Amino acid sequence: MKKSLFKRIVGFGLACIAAISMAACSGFGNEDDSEKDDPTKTTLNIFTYKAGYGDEWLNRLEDAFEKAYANVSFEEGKTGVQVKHTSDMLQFNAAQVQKSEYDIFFFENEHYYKYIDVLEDLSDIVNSKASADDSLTVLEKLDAQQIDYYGAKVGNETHYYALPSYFGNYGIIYNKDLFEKEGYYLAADKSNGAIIGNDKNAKKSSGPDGKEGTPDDGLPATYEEFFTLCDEIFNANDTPVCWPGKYRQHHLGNLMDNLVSDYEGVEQMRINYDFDGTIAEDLVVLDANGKVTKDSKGNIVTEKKEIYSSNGYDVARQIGKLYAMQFIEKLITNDNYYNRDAFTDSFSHTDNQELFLMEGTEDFGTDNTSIAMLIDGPWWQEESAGVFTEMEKVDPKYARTNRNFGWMPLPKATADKVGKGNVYSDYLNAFVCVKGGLSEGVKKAAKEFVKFSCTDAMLRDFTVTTGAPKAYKYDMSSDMNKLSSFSKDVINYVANSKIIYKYSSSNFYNANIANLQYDVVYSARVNGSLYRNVVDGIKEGGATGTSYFESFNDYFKKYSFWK
Amino acid sequence: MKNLKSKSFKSAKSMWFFIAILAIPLLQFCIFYIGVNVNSFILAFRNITLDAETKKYVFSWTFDNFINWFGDENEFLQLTQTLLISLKSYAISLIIGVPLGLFFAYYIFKKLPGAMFFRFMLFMPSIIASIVLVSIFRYFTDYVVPEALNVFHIELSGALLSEKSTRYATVMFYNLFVSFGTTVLLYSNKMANISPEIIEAAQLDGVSPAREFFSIVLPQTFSTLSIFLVTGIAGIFTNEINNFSFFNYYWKPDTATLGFLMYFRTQKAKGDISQYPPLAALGLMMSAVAIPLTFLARWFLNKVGPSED
Amino acid sequence: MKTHKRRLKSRLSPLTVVMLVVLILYCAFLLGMLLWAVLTALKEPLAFNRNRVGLPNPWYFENIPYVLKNAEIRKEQGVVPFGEIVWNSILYSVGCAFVNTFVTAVVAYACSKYKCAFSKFIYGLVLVVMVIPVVGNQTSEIQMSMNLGLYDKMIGMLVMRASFLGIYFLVFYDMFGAVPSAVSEAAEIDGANDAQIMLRIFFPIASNTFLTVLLINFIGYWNNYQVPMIYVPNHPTLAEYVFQISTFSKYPFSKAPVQLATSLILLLPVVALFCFTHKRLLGNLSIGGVKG
Repeated sequence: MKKSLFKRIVGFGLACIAAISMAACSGFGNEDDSEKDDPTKTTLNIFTYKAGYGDEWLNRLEDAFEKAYANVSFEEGKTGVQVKHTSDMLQFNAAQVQKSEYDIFFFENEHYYKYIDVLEDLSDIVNSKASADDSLTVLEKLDAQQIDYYGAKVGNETHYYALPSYFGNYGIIYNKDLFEKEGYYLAADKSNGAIIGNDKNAKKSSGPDGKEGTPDDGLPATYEEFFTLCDEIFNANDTPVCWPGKYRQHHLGNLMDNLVSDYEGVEQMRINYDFDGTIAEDLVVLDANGKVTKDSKGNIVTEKKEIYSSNGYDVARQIGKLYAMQFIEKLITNDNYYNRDAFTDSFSHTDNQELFLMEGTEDFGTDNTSIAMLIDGPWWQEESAGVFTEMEKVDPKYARTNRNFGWMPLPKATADKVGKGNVYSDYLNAFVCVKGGLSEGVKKAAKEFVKFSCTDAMLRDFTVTTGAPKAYKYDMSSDMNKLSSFSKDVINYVANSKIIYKYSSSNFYNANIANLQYDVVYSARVNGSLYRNVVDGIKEGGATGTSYFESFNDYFKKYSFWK
Repeated sequence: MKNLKSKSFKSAKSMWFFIAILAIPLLQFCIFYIGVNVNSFILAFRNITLDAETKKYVFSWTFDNFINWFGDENEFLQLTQTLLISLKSYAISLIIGVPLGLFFAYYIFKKLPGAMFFRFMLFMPSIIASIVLVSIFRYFTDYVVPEALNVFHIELSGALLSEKSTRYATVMFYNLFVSFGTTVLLYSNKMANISPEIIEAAQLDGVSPAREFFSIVLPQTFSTLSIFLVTGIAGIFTNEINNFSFFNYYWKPDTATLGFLMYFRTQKAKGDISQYPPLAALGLMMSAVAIPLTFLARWFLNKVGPSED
Repeated sequence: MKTHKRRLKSRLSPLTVVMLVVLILYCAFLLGMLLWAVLTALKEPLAFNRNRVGLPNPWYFENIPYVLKNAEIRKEQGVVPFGEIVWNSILYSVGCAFVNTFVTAVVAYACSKYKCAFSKFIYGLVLVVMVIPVVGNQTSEIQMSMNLGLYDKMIGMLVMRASFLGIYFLVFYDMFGAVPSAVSEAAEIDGANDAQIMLRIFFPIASNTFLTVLLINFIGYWNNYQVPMIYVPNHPTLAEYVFQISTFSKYPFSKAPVQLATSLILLLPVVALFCFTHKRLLGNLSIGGVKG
């Protein structure tokens, strides 16, 4: 009995091995799908990391490229190009990139230089205009910080092996329809209440830009006004803000980072990465016990200081960080302000977007409570496309095109910063690159494709398709009418803002990147426990915004690499 | 060689057979363990930095990767806090998980009511992919458990995994919950090998089930138990008690173990090799502690463990 | 009947009654979770956030068919047909489980039956290797598999899994060690050579243990998505399929009912297999002794 059982097992195993061997020999698993290779055309294979922006924009880019190059020959005996792409979540290393059949890669959330040895030099593309219709070269479409990041010195020359792709940022999205209906705009004259409410003709406050008659009128200009608005929304029986419990640290952490950037400005923020002796203008003075000091009037005492790598820890004292931490504390410690599942680990970003769209509606709401604001990125509508469609099936008024949402300019920590412009930080390391070692014809076609993707026309098309900008300078005015009200807000906001890229060409920063990169830099020891982000430190560790700031400073100073 | 042959092998043919059947697995080991991991060993002594101008990595030799874990106050804090949680988790597994596993196995061995069903159910979590089971467990504790407790008028202040006061207990509950599959299976089958005559003789002598368990069954199962105890030592340093499955890359100071510290830092590096050397050094240091500890535990258990006879 | 009751009473003691209660609670919790998961998979995607705990209303059976019809994985070669994904899973899990179990059994047998210094060395080696946490070796492992022409090939996966390291080495070692030497001596007298003794005497004795280790390994490989994603990236398995779908941000894949329905696709085959075979498979694994 045992013998026969054993034989059966061995037989089964051997049969499996034989099957695998046959499969390996016959190349099983390498069948093509409906999109067969056209032998008369040069074929380009693209890999794109599967994330929030989807791949419709890439389909359109491929179609446009195929059309534009239909009569161009890159390889002998072939005319035109066939472009295919694969959206996947695979993680690559340099050897895998080299080994793969993909020619072009759109990566996200990583640094391009880990692949640099296996990438094609794109310098000729970068230094030329992507299209005759463009007024700027590709290089000119980039910010100085991007050029610094993407440029690699070879001898005396700067070469480029990758180019930026998506823009990535978190912010506050507000339900314009709800704001209009309930009058959730701050009133210029507060004597009849903080918001305009039912008095739709009441004059709105001038908003964060400090100017009357601009689109941000009535939106909160300061943190204080923001929380006044939240109180009003709560009192009107709506939920002021929502974020996904599952990713609360990520969404709120990025929002906080933007609040810091918006307060400090590009030059002051760069100190956090460059440590090059620039004077930090507003460092909070901490006393001998590491506590924030205040003068006799109760104002926080600040000082100026040159910041080098030897005293880089002082940059943690920037007052914008203190204000932003206090903002986060106020937001997350008052449950009047946020949604029920804001701290539930199963509650994902798509659940949150769904509730943001549905709550308060006649057909989908669980009660009469609407959600006024959402903390998310510009891609949220793309991720919610299916929910819009399902809601539209019940009533066309719920269609994406029939609902109005806005991108709220960030409120300022202090009144003196109102009207001083916006700064945001791009956290997303998203880039496009071409694999090295391709045959001459394919290489040429691949580089043409990357160049084509940088043309103003295709950059605009990306924005029209996704509703979000790409990380280049380009003018959207000719296509603004194709955008939703939300996308218009995002584009206007980005166009009128300065950007801080969280990277430095300082060797010091790169040598200590494990502790200085944006998603761990705010670590602190709170009540004996190590927290990696402000949200957990306050919500779970029991810190206040101020005490977290102090603990963060204490922790930051203790790194042994300051020298 | 001759001496070896005469002691261990009946004939030269036996020796050649021994060599033949080991040759390929050992070759595989040399290539895919030693060959591959030698880099990891070397990595512990490398200093890798990015030249920000050329965007190329620059390599040099250093001991700082070891020293920094103790010399840098913050690194040391991480090390000690995660080590404490690792030890706590190991102790809980040892004090609660191991006895429960043995008792469950005894229950099954005695074929008490529902024994086969329970054995089936205890093994069930092992066959469900962890990605699936964790997800169901998280949903269940987030949404269903609070509602169920409401029925008994127990109000939770937040979801079990989100609240600091309940999170560690919930994570450990899950870890214990899924741990019984293989251990109970091994224990109960080992118990099944106990000679029925011994058990019958004990029953005729009127020994209580507790006495039977501690005096007969446990000693007979000890060799199996000791294997789990010995190999479990490594778990102190490597077990991440499902931190990643529950909390992704979010650091929870009350549940982050040494294993998770390594995982967290590796993932945060996003393939940037300049961040690996300190982790490789930590891995080596953990091995330096774990290896003698494992052999010590094995020696100790062999010495104090009851004889099956 | 009375005798049965008396026997049962004599077998139950405070210890076993407590165990019974704990086991009932354990099963209730597990079954409760699984039942909730199945019920949730039968809810409309957008109904979940309005009804997370109750019964489906309406009952919705379209989630699994929807996933099977619409969820596709694209790799270098294009869209991977679902049948191929299932086939990859079978090749990977059965093949790796068999190779791994077989190699482990062979090495354990050699070390257990030929008690030379080298055998002791290997035993120690297995213990040591189990204890060493290795960091940052993935790149060199990928490089090695590429250099040997094994990368992105299922056959390569088998070679990489032909390892004897792990706890089951100890299981087999003790199992073979516990077989009385008289058994092999008798075979020797009958003229059997070493290979025959191993294959015809010892391995059949170990067949039940072998089968159970095979099952445990099979389940491990069946559920693992990370390793195949790295080493055979263009041969997606069902586990990767579930992982990919569970991380889709696109509606309705992002919704709990559809995600749990997808999980059931991975779960049902292996649970069904287990239901039919558990009596045979679970009964025969032991360390330090031989059954029957």
